[in-house]
Amino acid sequence: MSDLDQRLRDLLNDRAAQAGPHPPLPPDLQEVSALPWWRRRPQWVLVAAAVTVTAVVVIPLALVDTGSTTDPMTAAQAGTWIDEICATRPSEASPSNQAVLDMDVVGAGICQWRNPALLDPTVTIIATQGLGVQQTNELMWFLRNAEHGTPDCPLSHDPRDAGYFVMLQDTAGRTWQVTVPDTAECGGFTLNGEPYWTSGFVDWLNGIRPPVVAPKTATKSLVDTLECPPHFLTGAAIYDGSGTGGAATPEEALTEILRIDFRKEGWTNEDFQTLTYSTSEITTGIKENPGGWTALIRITQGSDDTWIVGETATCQQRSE
Amino acid sequence: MESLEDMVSLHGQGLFRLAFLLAGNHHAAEDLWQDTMVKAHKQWHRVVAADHPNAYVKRIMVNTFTSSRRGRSSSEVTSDLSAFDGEQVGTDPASQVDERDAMWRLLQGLPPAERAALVLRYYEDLTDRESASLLGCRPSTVRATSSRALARLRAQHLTEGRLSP
Repeated sequence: MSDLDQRLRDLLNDRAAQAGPHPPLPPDLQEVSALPWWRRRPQWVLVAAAVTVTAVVVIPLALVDTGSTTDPMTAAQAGTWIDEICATRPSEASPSNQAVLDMDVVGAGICQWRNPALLDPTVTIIATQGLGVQQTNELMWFLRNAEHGTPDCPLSHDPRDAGYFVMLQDTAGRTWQVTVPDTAECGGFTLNGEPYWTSGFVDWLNGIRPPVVAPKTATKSLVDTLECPPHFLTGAAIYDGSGTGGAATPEEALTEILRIDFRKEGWTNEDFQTLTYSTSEITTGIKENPGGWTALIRITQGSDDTWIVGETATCQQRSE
Repeated sequence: MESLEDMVSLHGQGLFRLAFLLAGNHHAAEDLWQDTMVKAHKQWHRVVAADHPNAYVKRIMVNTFTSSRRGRSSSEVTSDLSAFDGEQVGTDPASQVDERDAMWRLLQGLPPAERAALVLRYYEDLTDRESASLLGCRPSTVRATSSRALARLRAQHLTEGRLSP
């Protein structure tokens, strides 16, 4: 036994002896059990009130301030554009027009994801893999610059970022997926697994074709496992944050996804409260904001015992 | 064991000591105690059905502790090492008390899961497998958590010159 082991053992036994007698059980435990939490912990009412005021006043202001990187398309615009894409052979489409439109669609999805107030019901980012807000913004930045003929290389080259994708879905259930290839070489993208990276954006754009992934397949499985509360609509955005892998504890994984994905929204660790900790492998965090949006986060322990953010979904509260 | 009152009369003191070591002070320990007892009361049919009812209640307590502290864990900071004088610990009782206080504060600065892992190992004398059962994780996770906590304590303690390398 090491020096530290012995000292810890001595210390804990010494302190335990100072604990004193245990408090009595409440005289009527049944009654206490039935009390709602705000009766048993009245101080949290004040905390909740303070959080609510902060959320009502600060978060909307922050959202207005940060805004979006591009205006979302209207439902009609997006629907029309997607119909055009599907009806047109990719090689005959106009890259310049599509460049603008596609960037807007991505932007619409991102805005919707990051800013529920800008929700466009037509086009939705339904899943991303390993693509955080920052990386998504980098992708959009790339698209924007490529459109103007100045492709640069803003994307991370960290090999751990390989294979991230954005998946879009329209109201017809069609799914669109944009993937960044393993090498993340400048100008390189794949669409549905096929590489278009020699001349960058135009090749990628010309490669648009019906999706390989069956519509809604991925969405359903993720939403089902996240079990949004019944008074919430699911599916505004679902995010696979496995890029945050390697955390030693669930807390670290949650902190990481907060740092990457939610910090810009003004959310903090304290905004998330653990609802369930049902097994050794799942932790679900939840954060509700006054706009009726909820983020559910599933944290999963991997085979190497590290913790990753498995899935995240945001859900919108039903209006009725 | 027919009721929660029976269990408390048999194991209450041990449970409260565990609560105290986890929570770190009397007020928090009493809160943790009450929350645990309320939950145990609500789930009493499961408690009595368990092979070891006392262990089941300990599990409730540990999970209540780690869950309730989860939101705050990232804001926790370790003790301010500059507050300590860094002198080598001698053999006089005063310095031993000082050393234990310092160690206690370092322990309180650990993330909840790490603190719980150490308390279960060194106070409850549980094996990694038994701790894993209480913490709701795998034994390998307990080992990793414990060794990480020990490494952190050792590094901070060495910084203070209070521990032999």
